[in-house]
Amino acid sequence: MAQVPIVAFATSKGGSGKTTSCILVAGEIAARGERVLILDTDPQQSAVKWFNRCRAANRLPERIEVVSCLGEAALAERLKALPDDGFVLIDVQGILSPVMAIVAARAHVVAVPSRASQLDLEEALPFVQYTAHFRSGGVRVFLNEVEGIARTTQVFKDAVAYLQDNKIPYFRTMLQQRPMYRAITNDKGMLETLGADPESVLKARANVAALMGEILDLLSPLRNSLPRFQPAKA
Amino acid sequence: MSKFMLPDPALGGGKELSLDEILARGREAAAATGQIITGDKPPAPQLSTLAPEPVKAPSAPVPPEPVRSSKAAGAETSAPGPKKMGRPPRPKPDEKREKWGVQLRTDFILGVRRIALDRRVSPFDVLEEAVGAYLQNRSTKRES
Repeated sequence: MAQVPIVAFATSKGGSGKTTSCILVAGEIAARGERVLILDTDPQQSAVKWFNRCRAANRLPERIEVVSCLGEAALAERLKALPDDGFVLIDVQGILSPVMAIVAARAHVVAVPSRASQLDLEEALPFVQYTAHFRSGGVRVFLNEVEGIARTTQVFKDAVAYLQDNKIPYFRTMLQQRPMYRAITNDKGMLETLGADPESVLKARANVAALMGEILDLLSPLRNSLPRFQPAKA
Repeated sequence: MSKFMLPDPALGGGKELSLDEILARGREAAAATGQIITGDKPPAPQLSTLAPEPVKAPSAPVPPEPVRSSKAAGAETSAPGPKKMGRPPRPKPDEKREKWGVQLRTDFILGVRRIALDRRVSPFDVLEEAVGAYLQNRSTKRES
């Protein structure tokens, strides 16, 4: 039986963009013709609310399903009954809860969003160290909500230096700060179906697709069971 | 019971762990990294696995301790019986104590307070001054 890939967006720090990045990556996977199941384990139920808002606005994303999954027992039960194909993404609350243990033990890839500052990275580091008690790989930080101009600042350079000095594994792709991403988390469904400037949409999708590609690289041990992607429709 | 295969065979040896084992490992990881798990409910200790306490055979009844009273030690008479629990006995009223039939006059207290507030001094200063003036007045009358 094929093993469905499980990707978690998790960190013990709140407000780092877990739900947003989870929704964006889910949209990009779904845009390539794959089914995505999002397990929302955050008591705030942000992903579930997003899904309901999209439904109310008649912008329900195709091939994406969001399921509420509160508590470690519920998550454990849900992980026993996963679909045979597609992807499973887990959106986790921004605290260290018992659910984190299951996520660290069960997810094939744990993507840890963090803003590009040393302060935020210092709070992400203990979580990365926590996951090291379950695994030796598959956990990577990615810098989130990075402004284009911020890359030249000393704060940004210090953040990258902090990652390298502490040997924190990180994705090369960083998600930039775009109003379009905020619009998606409101009720606009997916980037693919967003009625905005085509060039801006293309840039935004390319950014998310780059992150998705790195995640797929980490899932390469499951290569045999990975679905074959269709080319993205710009 | 759910079973989880650790993703990294190097750490878990590829063995499956139960949910409780995963959560226990999470507690170890949190302790090792100096973090607190929010909403964690550690499992209650199982009574059946605890070593039973050795049961002593019933022996001869132990004589109860004598109830201590306020009397002298020599005058104590040990009364056999169970020790009484609860509040200690109220002390008997001291008959030698002199009782003053004094009743505080509230208008006097309020007057002292008002003067003290007007002068911005302590009420004790007002009383001290008043007593001093009274004694001086009295001694003056005696001399005359």
